[in-house]
Amino acid sequence: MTSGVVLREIDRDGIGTITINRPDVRNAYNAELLVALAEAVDAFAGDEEVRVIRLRGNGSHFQAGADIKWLQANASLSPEENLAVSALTTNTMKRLNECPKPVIALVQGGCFGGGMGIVASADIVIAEQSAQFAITEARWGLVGGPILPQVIAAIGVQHTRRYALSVERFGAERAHDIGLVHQVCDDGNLDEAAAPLFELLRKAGPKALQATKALILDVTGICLSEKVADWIVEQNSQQRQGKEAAEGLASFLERRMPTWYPEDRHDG
Amino acid sequence: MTNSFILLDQDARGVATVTLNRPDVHNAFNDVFIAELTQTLETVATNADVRVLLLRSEGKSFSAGADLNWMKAAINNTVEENEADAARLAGLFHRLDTMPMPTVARVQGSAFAGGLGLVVCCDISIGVKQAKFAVTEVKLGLIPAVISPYLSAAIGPGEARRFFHTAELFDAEDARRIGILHEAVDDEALDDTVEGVIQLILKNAPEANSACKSLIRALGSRVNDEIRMDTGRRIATIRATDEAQEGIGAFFEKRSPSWIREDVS
Amino acid sequence: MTADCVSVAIDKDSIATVTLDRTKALNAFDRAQVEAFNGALDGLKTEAGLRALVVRGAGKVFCAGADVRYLRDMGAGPWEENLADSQDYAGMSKRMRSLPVPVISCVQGGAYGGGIGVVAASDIVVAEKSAKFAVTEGRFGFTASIMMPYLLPRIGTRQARRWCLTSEMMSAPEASRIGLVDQVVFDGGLDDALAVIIDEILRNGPSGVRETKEAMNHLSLPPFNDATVGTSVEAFAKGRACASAQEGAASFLEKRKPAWAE
Repeated sequence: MTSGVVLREIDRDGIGTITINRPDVRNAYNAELLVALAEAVDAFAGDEEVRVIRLRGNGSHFQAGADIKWLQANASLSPEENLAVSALTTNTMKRLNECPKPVIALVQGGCFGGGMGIVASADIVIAEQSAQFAITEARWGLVGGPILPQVIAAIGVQHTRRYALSVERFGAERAHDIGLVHQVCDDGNLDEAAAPLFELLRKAGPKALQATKALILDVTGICLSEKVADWIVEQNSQQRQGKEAAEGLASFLERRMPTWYPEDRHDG
Repeated sequence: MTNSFILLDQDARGVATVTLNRPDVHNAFNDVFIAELTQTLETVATNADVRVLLLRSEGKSFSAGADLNWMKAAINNTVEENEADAARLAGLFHRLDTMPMPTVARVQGSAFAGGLGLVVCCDISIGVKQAKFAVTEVKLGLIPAVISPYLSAAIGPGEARRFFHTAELFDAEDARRIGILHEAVDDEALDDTVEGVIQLILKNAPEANSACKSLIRALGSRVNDEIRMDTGRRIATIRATDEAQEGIGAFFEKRSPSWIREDVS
Repeated sequence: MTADCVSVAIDKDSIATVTLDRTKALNAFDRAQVEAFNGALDGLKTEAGLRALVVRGAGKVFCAGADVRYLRDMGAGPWEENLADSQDYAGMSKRMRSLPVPVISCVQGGAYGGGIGVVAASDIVVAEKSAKFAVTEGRFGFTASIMMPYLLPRIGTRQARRWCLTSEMMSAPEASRIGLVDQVVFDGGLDDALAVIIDEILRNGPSGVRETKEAMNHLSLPPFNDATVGTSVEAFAKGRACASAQEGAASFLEKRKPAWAE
């Protein structure tokens, strides 16, 4: 598949590459992209040719959050439709996280909100030196439930708590320190840095790799239960329909600080 | 049953030292080794005078994990025998992980696979900077099933996802960073550092330390009998598969397993 | 609302600061201070528009834990009173964790024993480089219990086993490495670092922040719930009633080595 918002390709070594392809909008996600991503993951999961999956994003940024037009459209959805949006995001992250084959993510530029969830759902992450990360939802009056379980599994509940409440940005070195990123490389060097990793995976028994992934998913308890998923979806959906989320979106569109930021701190 | 694979010693302070003693095979485990070690740990666990358990080993390596000759022979067992075998290995880790007194691992050399399991089932692990570590199983078409609950609890799911899949060799600095070792020291400093840890433990009330271990386990542990038994079933299943047999066979025949394509791009 | 040992102040941006102020005891908790702290947090629960809580300790040391006499007396007394008091003690961290705004602890000097409990129950911890940390309970024959539901999600079981069983002193950089502390600043740098964090928090939607904290509590392991807190309360009450605890307290007060350290 060489066109569309999510591209797929399989090479001779059994590496299936999934490329997020909306570089003009920093690979921002909307329903179409989430569906295509989940489909790509499922297709490779079921394809015997594919031993491992390489996940990347075209352009300067890996995945910098939700598509603004989509957020605007979501603002006028019914409660049921809202729930469906939250369910789509939650389930896409779940399917990526629980993919039966090892996933290696290559990260450049901005990785915010949903992007954090995608990265945390991968098995091995390599990031460029200048990559930037943030759990952005609260800044816009939202709550990032759909990505929190995966981020918690990757960096631990404490770092997640701190970064989700403050919405501080952090760089690749810090991401490495806290376990979100396994390896940091020079800008522009993602493929070179990833090569030894793919070589190691090539040497592993293909069925053993899958059985190991299945083992990890079960033993570490990182699979999303229906009960927790429902809780997350409900909370995420409710929050998005609130006044605060509307103000968050409006402040972004109108290029101003939101009303909850003290007046006397506004610049100029 | 001779006790030569495992040595036990105890001093007047209540420090019991258990030594793995198969240096000629890098302290690899087979069924006899597992049984003796488990029995020795049981003896220490029920000795009210013991305040600290020190786990150490003879030779260059701490432990290379499962003896592959044992693993190879297991292929000829029935599924039930395999599962029982794996259950005994799981029992060993459980016994070590739940010792009532604090446990210290002295990691004087490399630890692979099951050997890593022993390291993370101790409360405090001090290793040397030169030591190397790896979760080697997938290279042989196997999986790190029995150690996975303990290892993933120690290093977290994020690191488990990396190291379990890549089977890569990593050093003591990484081991410390991810939580396998608490400290990585120079060879000359190993015994002093271990002794320092033991002395700190002895300053704490034995009853308090024991209660603390129980509380940490009650609140923080995900491992239960079901998970343990399940890991035993998984290794028993996979080592009987064609892929695993090919992997182990290739190891003994000193060749590449068939799943590695030679004509790569 | 102020009591002698705990003061509360709220600034124009609705940032509350609760300060432990019993410097002659290095801000150690006794019954009165536990009550005062709980009272302060109960007051803040109903503070409209609250955006964050900052917890500080006056003087040289953030908090040296719990008063040994208080622990001994509670442990030596009737079980029902011991348990009820344990619940009050546990109520401090429970209130911090339940407060629907970020709780930030600023640590100078040291946090020991129960002081670690305050730190662990905070959402964000900033510490001076020279600050020291230690889970000292075992030295005195007590079991670090009330802090456990908060310590474990922070540092994990691997680190908890080491630091609780040795009760050794930890530097601020080491505390940061294992996740007990979130940010280390040079001595004297707490206020500046706090200002940056507060500004970030003020940019975030208050209800988004509230829901995020709730999600974190829900998804944490162990989960923040009555069962988990209940287990820790029971362990705490038992722990201070046992022979080791009584010997530990006695030996400390009599300025001698405890029997197990002879």
